[in-house]
Amino acid sequence: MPRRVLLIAAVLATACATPGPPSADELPLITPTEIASTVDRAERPVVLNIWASWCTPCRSEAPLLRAAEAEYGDRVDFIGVAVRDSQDGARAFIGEFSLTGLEHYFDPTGAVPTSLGGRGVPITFFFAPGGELVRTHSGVIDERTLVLLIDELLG
Amino acid sequence: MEFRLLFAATLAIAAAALVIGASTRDDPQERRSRIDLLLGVVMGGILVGRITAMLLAGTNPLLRPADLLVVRGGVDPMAATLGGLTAVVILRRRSAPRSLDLLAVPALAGLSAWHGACVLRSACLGSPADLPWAYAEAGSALTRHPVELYTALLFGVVALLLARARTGTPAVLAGSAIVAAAAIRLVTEPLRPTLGSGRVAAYGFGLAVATLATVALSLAGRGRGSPSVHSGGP
Repeated sequence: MPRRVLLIAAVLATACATPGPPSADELPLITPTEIASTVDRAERPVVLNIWASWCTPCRSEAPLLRAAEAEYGDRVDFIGVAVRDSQDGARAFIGEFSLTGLEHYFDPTGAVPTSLGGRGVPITFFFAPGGELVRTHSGVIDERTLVLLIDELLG
Repeated sequence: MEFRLLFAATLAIAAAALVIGASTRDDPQERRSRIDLLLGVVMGGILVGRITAMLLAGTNPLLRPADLLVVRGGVDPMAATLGGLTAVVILRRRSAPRSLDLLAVPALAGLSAWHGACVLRSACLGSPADLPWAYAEAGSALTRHPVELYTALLFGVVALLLARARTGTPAVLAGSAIVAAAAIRLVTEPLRPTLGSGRVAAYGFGLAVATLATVALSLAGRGRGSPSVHSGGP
């Protein structure tokens, strides 16, 4: 009997428990509303890259994004959003490509790119200061296109 | 799938094949043989160029073989050139120097078409310019150098010049084509949108090595008095 009470108490405790804050190294969750608010508040141009650790083409453009952030990071905000991914996979991807210069978020449902009119991964969105979406590049981005579109944003 | 890139590549191979076809009108067997070699060179070049680009980006091709297929992710041009040259040596062995000469003009024509196909990919523009022929990206007011069209034009002019060339020493014509290609990429590179200084140092190095090798081959051949080799142009 006491064992059954304990068991019920444990089930109830589990059911009622609220998730705690994410651990320090977990990517923060982000919603379409929050990303829109983030780019709207930005005083600098924003390059928003949608990626996933399971996406082979994303691996090809990751070094390019790292290099672009190193060169333009003082004038442009670089944001990465991992979609339909696992926290472990996303963190491993960031570590493998040393993408720590980008501000990363986690979107398990892929709602963020859908809300911006994009489909699939990778996608790169280019925002002017104030949040106006200037260009969307679907698929792997090459160096010429990335630099040219950033140059256009910087005007 | 980036179909426009695939279309540009197809156009480049078609241009090279067209030049081969024009120079082998009376010999279908030779035409087939040269086109086979051309395809081997293209495959070898892309493979080696892609592997090198992956290594330079910190990706191990053995651990990530699927990444090889993402050609859009980058192909290192210098390594691709070496890959193409190696493919000729493997496929033609002893006749490799002559085969290289026969491919020189078709390769330059192919490169001209490849760069010219930027029009189909909306990828011609480089650094900002206010020259009369400069134009802007769709939706932009900033006019830019059509750097890929400059490159296409230069490759076309060099292809025409080398099509008329004759040399007594095997591989000198191919060497001249490589020197010209490196020089064209070197002079147009500052007009390209690139991270850092782009590949100026790599093209400078390639130009120096190709020039030295071509001059050395030419001097060595002059002493031997080899029979004249035609460029293989139309």
